Amino acid sequence: MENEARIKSVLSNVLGVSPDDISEDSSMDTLEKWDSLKHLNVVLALEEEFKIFFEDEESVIITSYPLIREILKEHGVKFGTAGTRSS
Amino acid sequence: MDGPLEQLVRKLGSADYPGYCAVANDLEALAQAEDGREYPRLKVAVLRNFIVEPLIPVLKGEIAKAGFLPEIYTGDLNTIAEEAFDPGSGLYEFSPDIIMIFQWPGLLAPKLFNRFLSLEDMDQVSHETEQTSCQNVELVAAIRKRSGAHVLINNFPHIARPTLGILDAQTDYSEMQTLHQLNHDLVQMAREFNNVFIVDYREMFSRLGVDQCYDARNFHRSQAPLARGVLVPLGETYGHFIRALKGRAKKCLVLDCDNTLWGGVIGEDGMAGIRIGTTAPGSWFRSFQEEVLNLHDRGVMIALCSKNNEADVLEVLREHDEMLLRETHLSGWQINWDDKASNIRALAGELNIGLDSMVFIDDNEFECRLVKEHLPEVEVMTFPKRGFEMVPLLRSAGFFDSLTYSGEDRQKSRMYRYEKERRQVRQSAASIEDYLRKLNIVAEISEPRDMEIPRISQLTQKTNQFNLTTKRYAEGDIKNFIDAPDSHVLRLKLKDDISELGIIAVAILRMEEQVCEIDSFLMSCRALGRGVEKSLLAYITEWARRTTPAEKMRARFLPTAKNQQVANFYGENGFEQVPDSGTGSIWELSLKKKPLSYPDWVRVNSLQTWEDLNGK
Repeated sequence: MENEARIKSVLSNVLGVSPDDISEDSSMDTLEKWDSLKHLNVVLALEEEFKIFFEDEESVIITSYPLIREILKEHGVKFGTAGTRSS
Repeated sequence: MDGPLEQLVRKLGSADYPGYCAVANDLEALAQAEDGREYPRLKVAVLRNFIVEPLIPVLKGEIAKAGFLPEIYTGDLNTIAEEAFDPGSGLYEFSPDIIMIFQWPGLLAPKLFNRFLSLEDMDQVSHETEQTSCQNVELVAAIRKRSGAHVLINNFPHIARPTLGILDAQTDYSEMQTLHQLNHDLVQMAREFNNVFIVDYREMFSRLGVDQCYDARNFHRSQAPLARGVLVPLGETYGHFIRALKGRAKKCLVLDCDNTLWGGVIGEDGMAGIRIGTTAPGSWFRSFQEEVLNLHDRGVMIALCSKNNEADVLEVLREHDEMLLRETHLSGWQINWDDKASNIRALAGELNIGLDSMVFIDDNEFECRLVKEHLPEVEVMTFPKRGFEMVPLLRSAGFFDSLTYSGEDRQKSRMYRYEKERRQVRQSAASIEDYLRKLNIVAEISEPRDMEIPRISQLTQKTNQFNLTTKRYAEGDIKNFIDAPDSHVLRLKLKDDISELGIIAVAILRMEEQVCEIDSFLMSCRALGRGVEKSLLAYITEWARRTTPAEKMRARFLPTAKNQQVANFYGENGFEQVPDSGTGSIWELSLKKKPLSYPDWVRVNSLQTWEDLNGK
C-alpha cells in the first residue's frame, strides 16, 4: 500500500470514518471523532503501522493529515511526490 | 452460521492494534444495525485511575470473540471510589455483567512506588502496604454489596530498576518484597469475595518486559501508561477471562500426528525413523506432548485426526519408547484417508461436543485451511516450523483457560474413553433399554458436600447442550444457594458397570410460596442418552412434594444457540406449558397429581433421607 493510503487507513480504522472522508484538510478541528482521547489511539496505531516511535512533542503536533505526513517524513517514511494533493 | 459478528471476529485472527481499532468501530455499527439484534450483549464497566482508552478497542474485539456485542461503560478518570460507594452511581445504573478495575501502582500508592525511601523503616512500609490492601478490600466489598457482576482487578506488575538498585534484592526493606506482599494480599481478598478475579499484570509485564509495557511518554502526557506493545496481549488476557466466565472455553484438542506429535512421517520413515525423544528436533515434539498431557490432566479431551494407516499410528502410541502420549490418554481418534473436516465432524459427534469446543493443530497449511473453511467454528492452529514455539503459542491462546480446577478434571478425559466402550456395548444390545439395563446404572442424588461445590459451579459454566436455562454460577453463588433457606441444590452422581462418571447433573431450586421453581437444570453431555435426566426430574418433583409446601413446580426453558435439544424436555416429561410473553417458554407441573415415574434401568440412591431433607 502507498504510504499515504496507510495513513488514511489508520485514521479511518481508529476514528471509525470512511477513508474517503480523509483529505488534505482533515484534522482534529474538522473530524468530530478525532478527540484528544482518540488521538492517543491514533498515535499508538501510527507507531504500530510504521514501526516508529514519536517523540513527545511530535505526538502532540500530529493533529492533521498533512502534519502526520510531514512528521513521518522526518522518520524516513517516503511519499511519492512531496505535498501531493491526493484527493 | 457465519453471521456479521462471526465475520468481524475472523478479521481478528492475526490483527495488530490498528486492526482491532477497525473491528471495534465495525462492532459499534453492528450494535446499532438490524442484523446485530440477534446477538447477546455483554456489558462491561471500566473503572480506572489511569487512561485505558487505548485498550478499549482490543477489549471490544475480545468480547466479540466470546460471541457477544460489547457495551462498555467507562467511568470518569479517578472516580473508582465514587462509582463504587455511591449506590446511585452510573456504574450501578449501567448494571454491568463484568466490572474491570484498572489501577496503576504509582497512582494508587505513590509512596510505595515513587518515593520508597520516604518510608523510613519496615514498619512504615508495612503500614503503607496494609493501607493500600485495605483500600482494595473496601472497594471490592462496596461493589459486591451492590452488584453481582464479575469483578476483574489487576495486580501489581514487576518493578524494573528498584530505587535501591542492587541492594533491593538483599533486604526485606525492598520494593520487590513489598510488591509480593501487595499481590499476596490481593489473592487473599479475591478468595474472600465471590466472583472476584485477579488479572495477572505481574506475569504479563514479566513476560513481555516492563520496558515494553510502560510508555513513560504517554504516561506523563496523558496518564496513559500502557505501551502499544502490551495492548493486544493484555486485551487478549481479559478475553480469556470473558471466555471462561461465559462458558466458552474449549474442551477438546484434536491433533495431527506426522510432524505434529513426532518429527517425520510414520508411513515413510517407520518406527525407527520418526523423531521423538530427548534431543532436538525430537525433543520439540516431546515437550509438546508434555503440554498435551498437562491439558489432559486438566480435563481437556485429546483426540487424533491423521491421514495414516490406523495400525501404523497405534503402533507408535503403543510401542514407541519415547512417546509420552499413549492410547489411554485419547478420548477418540479418526485415523484414515478421509478429509479432515469430515473426520473432525465425526469426532465431535462421537464425543458429544460442539465443533466450537474444539481446537485443531496440524503442521500442514493445506489441512489447516481446509478445516478453517469447512468448519469455521473450530479453532485451527498451525504447528510451527520451529516446533519449540508450539507450547508458548498454545498457552498464549488460552483456549482451555478456566477459573476452576477440580479433582474430577483429571478423571474426566478418562470418562470419555469409557464412553467409547459403552457405545460398542450398545451396538451389540438388542434395544436401547436392554442395553441400559445391562449397564447397571446407579444415580446418587443428594445435596452437595462442600468439596463438591467447585465441580457444580464448573458444570454450570461449561454445560451448553443439555442446559435448560444456561445460567452460569461461580462457586460463591452455589454456596449461597445451598446456604439460603429458600433455595436448594441437588446434584446427581453417576456410575455404571464400566466406570464412575462422578457428578454429571445439577438442579437448582427456588421456593416461592406455593411454587417450587427450577432455576437451573443441566446435565453434562457425557451422560447423554441414558435417561438419567428423567431420574433427576422425577426425584426433584418427589422431593418438592415430600419436603416442601409447594403445590406445583414451575420450570423455564431459555433458548440459546446450543440447547435446542431440550426445548421440549419439560413437555415430554408431563409438564404443561403456560402462556408467557418472554423469550423461551414456561412450564408447570401440579404436585397434587400422579408423580412422575422413574426410568426402571436407573437405580436412584440418596445420601439423605426425606426426613433429613425436611430439616433445612
